[in-house]
Amino acid sequence: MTVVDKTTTRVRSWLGTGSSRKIRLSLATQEAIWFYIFVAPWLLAFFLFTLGPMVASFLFSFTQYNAIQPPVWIGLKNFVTLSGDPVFWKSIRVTFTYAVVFVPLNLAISLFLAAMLNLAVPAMRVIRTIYYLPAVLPEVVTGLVWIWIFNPDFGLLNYLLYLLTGLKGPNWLGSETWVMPAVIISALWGMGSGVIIFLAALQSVSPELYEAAEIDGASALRRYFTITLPMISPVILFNLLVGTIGALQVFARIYVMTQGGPNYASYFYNLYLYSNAFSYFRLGLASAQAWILFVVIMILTLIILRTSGRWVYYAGGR
Amino acid sequence: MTATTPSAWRKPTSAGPLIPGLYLGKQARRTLTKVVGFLLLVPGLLWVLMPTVWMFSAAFSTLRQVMQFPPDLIPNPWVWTNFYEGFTFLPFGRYYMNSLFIAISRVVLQVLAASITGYAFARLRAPGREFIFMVVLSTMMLPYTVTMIPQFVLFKNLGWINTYYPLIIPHLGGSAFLIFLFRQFFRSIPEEVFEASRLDGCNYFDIYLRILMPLSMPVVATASILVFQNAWQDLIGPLIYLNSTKLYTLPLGLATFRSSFGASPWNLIMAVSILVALPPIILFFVGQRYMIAGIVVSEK
Repeated sequence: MTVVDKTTTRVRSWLGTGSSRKIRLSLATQEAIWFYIFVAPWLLAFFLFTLGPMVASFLFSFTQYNAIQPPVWIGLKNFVTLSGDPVFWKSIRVTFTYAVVFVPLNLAISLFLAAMLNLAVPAMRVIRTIYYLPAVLPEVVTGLVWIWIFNPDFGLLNYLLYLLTGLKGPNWLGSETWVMPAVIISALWGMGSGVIIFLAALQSVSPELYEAAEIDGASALRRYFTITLPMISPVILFNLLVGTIGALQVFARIYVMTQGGPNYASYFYNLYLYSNAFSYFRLGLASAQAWILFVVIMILTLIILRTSGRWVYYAGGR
Repeated sequence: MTATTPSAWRKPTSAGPLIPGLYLGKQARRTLTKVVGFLLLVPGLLWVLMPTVWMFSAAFSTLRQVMQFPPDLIPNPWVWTNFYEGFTFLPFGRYYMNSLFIAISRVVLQVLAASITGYAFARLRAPGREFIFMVVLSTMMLPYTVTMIPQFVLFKNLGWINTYYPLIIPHLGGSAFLIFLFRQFFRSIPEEVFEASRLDGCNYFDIYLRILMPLSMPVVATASILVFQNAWQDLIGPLIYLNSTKLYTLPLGLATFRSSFGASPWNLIMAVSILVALPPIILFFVGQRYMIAGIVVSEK
């Protein structure tokens, strides 16, 4: 039908029959129209569910709003309230501590594991699959498994500690001192997704580089630091960014494991935000929290990207 | 390479020492690296496997055995009814169907949207394309909490609380990462394919449907797995929007499972957990080949 008509005009324009100039212009326009048709679902979702809500939550953050009565403009009062709220600061401290410890540790371990998993060792496929397994499990499930492993009386971890040292381990999730180490340990268990991305990166480094280096007499370690690391540095940057942004937004696992306790010792930023929004219906205050987090993430991303020029190598030369 | 390099230029045993003072032949060094790597991997394997093994052992044990010290890994007696009991304590069968419905809807919606959007960004020239693509990528940085509250207000006003719409419809646009994945893949397809199909009379949609989609099954598989895993474990969405227990999803059901019993029936929780973890695990096993391929593609 119309498809056939359009096709004939197009073919004619390629063959240079038809009044070429006019048709060629309209072809570019046609292409642009198709582009916007294809991108339309994304654009629609973006305006309805991302940009619109962004503007709205920005405005909400200057209001008092409980979702039932209309919002009341209160200026910067939400931000003032938060800055004087010890629980807010506690949640920031908890979240940053987690990010600062977990992100670098996770990067280092996943890099190391990826290098190991890239060796041509027998049964490697199986080994890789096993390492990736925890990352496949739903967060609620891993949260539950770890509650139980951390159980002070019959948990696996304290049993292993007892076997190794003869001492009775701490009450992990019930202790203000040990709850954060416990959270980090359980998070490190699920690092498979970082490993798989590194592994893919390692496998795309061209073998000729290694051969050349080997011929030049570079040792395995030297090759790792002068070839592997630079070649996969864009992927390290990607994992660093994704890891940092993710670490600041931890929710489900903590919600299941500790609910933020004991005594706010694992009260992550988003846990506080969630209860302000949906337990106390302080939607204005929670929106202010969301925007503070957003600004922090933007600043951190900028810092990481700015400093990345020094250590990230783009083989394409971009 | 060998042909152009005179043999005299090459050093006889090539590389330097692995450890200062220790000189080994090439073959010996390769083997040594493998052995050391293997030895380093095994403790890690135990660490990774232990929780999973424990999960399975508890799922088949009596509650008394689960709570004893020292722990015993081998169930005695084997209790198969834990699975049945776990599934009848709370209506997990129903939650299963609910979770499946949401996850499958999201997979279909997001993969379709992301693939066609990725195709547009990869292959169709239009004014504003690069700018929009930058916007797509920058949404990856946006914390979900920024849009969460106004979305809640919006859906509340639409009367969508306690329905699945708020869990599915906002994903109408695909997702930034998936769009990126598809775009990278479609860019790697040679231009001749497009020229040829255009000359054969395909319009842009035909090219997408008839030529590109059949070619992009690895990426479709990767994207589907990622969306499914994401949807399957979503806790905060159901937590916000679902009130009636009939509509609960598995993560929400599991989370309430624990809090609704005084002493936690760990054997039942683990039995249910295994069944909850099963679909993503199966998907991963089936699609694992594609996943690595899909990720490699996205890095180019």
